[in-house]
Amino acid sequence: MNRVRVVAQHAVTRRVGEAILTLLGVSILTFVLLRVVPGNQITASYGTAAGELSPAQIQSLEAYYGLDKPLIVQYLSWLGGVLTGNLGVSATSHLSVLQMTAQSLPNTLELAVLSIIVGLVLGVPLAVLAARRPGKTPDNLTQLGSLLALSIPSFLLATAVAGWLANTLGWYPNGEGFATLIENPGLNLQQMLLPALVLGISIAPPVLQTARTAILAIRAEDFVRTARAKGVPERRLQFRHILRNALIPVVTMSGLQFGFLLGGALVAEQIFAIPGVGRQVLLGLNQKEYAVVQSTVLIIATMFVLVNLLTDLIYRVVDPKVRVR
Amino acid sequence: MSSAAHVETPQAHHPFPQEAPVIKVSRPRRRALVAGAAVAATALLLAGCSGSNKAAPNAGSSSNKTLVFGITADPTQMVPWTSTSAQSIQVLSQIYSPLLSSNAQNVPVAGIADLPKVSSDGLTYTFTLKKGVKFADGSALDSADVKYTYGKIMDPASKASSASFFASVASVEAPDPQTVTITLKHPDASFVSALDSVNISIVPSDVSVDSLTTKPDGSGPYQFVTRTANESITLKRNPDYYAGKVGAAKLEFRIIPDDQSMVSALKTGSVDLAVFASPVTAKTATSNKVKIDPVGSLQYHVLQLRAASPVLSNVNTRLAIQCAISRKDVVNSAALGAGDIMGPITSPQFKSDPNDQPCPTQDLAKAKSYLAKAGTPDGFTLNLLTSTGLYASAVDEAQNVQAQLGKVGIKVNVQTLDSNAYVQKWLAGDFDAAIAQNGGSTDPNTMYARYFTSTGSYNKVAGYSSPELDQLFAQGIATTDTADRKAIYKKISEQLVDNAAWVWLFTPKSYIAVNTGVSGFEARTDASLTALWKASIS
Repeated sequence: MNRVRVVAQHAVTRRVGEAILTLLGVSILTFVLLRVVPGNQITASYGTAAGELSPAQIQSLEAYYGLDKPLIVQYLSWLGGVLTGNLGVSATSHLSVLQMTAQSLPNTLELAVLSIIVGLVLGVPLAVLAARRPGKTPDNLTQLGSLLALSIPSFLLATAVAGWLANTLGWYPNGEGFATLIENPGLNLQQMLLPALVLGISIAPPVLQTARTAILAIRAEDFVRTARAKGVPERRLQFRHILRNALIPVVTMSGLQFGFLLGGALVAEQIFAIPGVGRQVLLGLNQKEYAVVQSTVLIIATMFVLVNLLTDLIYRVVDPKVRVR
Repeated sequence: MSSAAHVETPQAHHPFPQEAPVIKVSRPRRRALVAGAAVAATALLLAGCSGSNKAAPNAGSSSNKTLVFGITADPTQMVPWTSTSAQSIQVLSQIYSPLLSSNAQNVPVAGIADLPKVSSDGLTYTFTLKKGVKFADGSALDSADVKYTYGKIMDPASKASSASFFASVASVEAPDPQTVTITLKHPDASFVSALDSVNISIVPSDVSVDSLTTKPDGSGPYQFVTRTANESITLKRNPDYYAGKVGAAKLEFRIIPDDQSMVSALKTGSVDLAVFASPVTAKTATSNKVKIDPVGSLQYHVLQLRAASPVLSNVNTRLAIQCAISRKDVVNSAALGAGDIMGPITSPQFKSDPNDQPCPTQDLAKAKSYLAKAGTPDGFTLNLLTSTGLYASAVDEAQNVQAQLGKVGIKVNVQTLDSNAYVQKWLAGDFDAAIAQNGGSTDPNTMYARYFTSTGSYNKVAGYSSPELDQLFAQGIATTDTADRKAIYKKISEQLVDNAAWVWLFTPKSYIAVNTGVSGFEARTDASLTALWKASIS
């Protein structure tokens, strides 16, 4: 027993160590990529007016933005800040990255949850329909539909839908100032409706395909045949035995999609004026606010890694086989 | 993904009892999750639907009191003297007042100070401040604040992009609270024209610059209330505004990054005013509720040629390029008609005649003969720099120029960079030719001395100077007589086009979309918001 625990602890420690190394790698990659791209905060904020700056002014600016220090010092001082809870301050909004993220992350989270719900609500019932008789008309139609939904670029769909609604119904809630779910739930949900729909439409096809494949595979399993032979009613068989099992890979896949959406659905956020994490990174990129981009990317990566780590650790608790490995 | 499913599913339903407990624990949980999600989804969607009827009228009535101005990006700076982004200028022009203002013809007029008395030697400018002008914090705006602000701008530590406006200033004095005296190092007739710029607005001397970045404090028509990053900036009416009663109780700058989204917001009335660069977008916004005001610009689009780079050092080569290009064609096909062809100077009082140049229209035969004179009758290869991020039509303009020059055998390689990379190369003068959109000014000296005098801060970018030009520019600011000045700048303009220093293309138009509920709005050149304070909303 004691030995098993030591091994388990060892594995867990290794897994946590890997997670930390991953994050370190992400931070270094972001840091390097940002600096490989030409331009810096001075050209970004002054544009061509930077030519009017005197050498004394440029020196003062470089000191102000910390550009006069060697790269390794810049990196370490940023990392040191992060480790002591100082993620940096945006020169644009004069808010700390922590404050900015506290504002933007809930919006991104909400949009991600709603988009996944839309994707599931569209994808799963259609998958059931399609799997009922593979190769027949409903199946072919849903296949065509999902191909179409996958191939329409979301920015095009978003713009078209928004323009059409404004023109015909005079309804475009996203033109109002953004309201958070707490401030004004009614307006907030209206504002989330279109982006969630657009994102959901792009999530539905993979959901549909995964669910359809899983339903077909499970239907051929021995236990289904046994259940049917035992006289389980068809409806109960379809939903309790087949669909529920088929949803397991769908849940796994939705989790992955959710992870991607956490990084910010930039196009939807941009078009529908949702102040989320994606726009926070974009703003940082445009203004060359290195600290904003580095810290926000690190936060996103941390969430991703943490979710993965937790899943792994939970597997260890739940599934004895993993624990032994 | 689906292959993993095949492995997992049978396990979950494995008939052997030892795994059963695991299943029993996880299954109900999963069911609860799914059920919970479904309930939440339904609730959210229902709330969304029912909310739509209630929220709309609320929003409508609140926009009656607040004038909403749509902008596409968060303002990047909040201190007047470092502000260069269009959005920062728009917002700060409503919060702060510069010393002078300007009228619809872009001529400086009295602002918080009257037009200055200039001494006979042209060196001393005396300004009298209006009485009763206050900052938002309630303190009086007096000469000490002007002296402090201008001192800050001239201090390198402030990193002011407007420091160059004061290049000829020797000292700023405040002999009494209502009087400001500015002494110049040498006569500079262009000095007054810069004093209406947002970038040299007056800030209070007793408030730290740091605090101004989060809580702007000025004497403009509106006062800062609140800002939400990436969402909006809200201002309220300044009851003590020196120029009169401000039109709206509140002014909100709302950030809507996407143009089409902005169009929808205008049409549904949630945004009252917005500015578009593209005539096509402006057209889609036009409806019975939205009117479009096209306005001209002092800015200009130009094909910059660097005479300093070997490939363009021969004047005949540059003239060949001028003659091969139809400016009309560039405007109509690349800029979709949104511009007017131009000569170098756009300043209203000194405007160049667009047709006063060696080739006023495209003349391919003449271009060929210039090429022959330059010793390259079959043309040559030219690298042309342009950018995707600076303004919408920059790449199209480069491609149009490429096609036109191709007709006389000049092979153009278009190099397209993002705006940061472009700006870096541009500032370093690291290019042969470039498509650029440069700022204009009400004074021609402000426009071009920095480019075309041998000591100008952008001379490396312009790549052209001559003793004649140096002398003409010096004369231009040494004399105050407007007629004399006009003659001098006409000569400068001729020097520039006769030597084809650059090929000046057109001044762009912008399109101001105004909701019909807005009254009293005056559309100004460059979509300047100097007169926005008069606009009210019904």
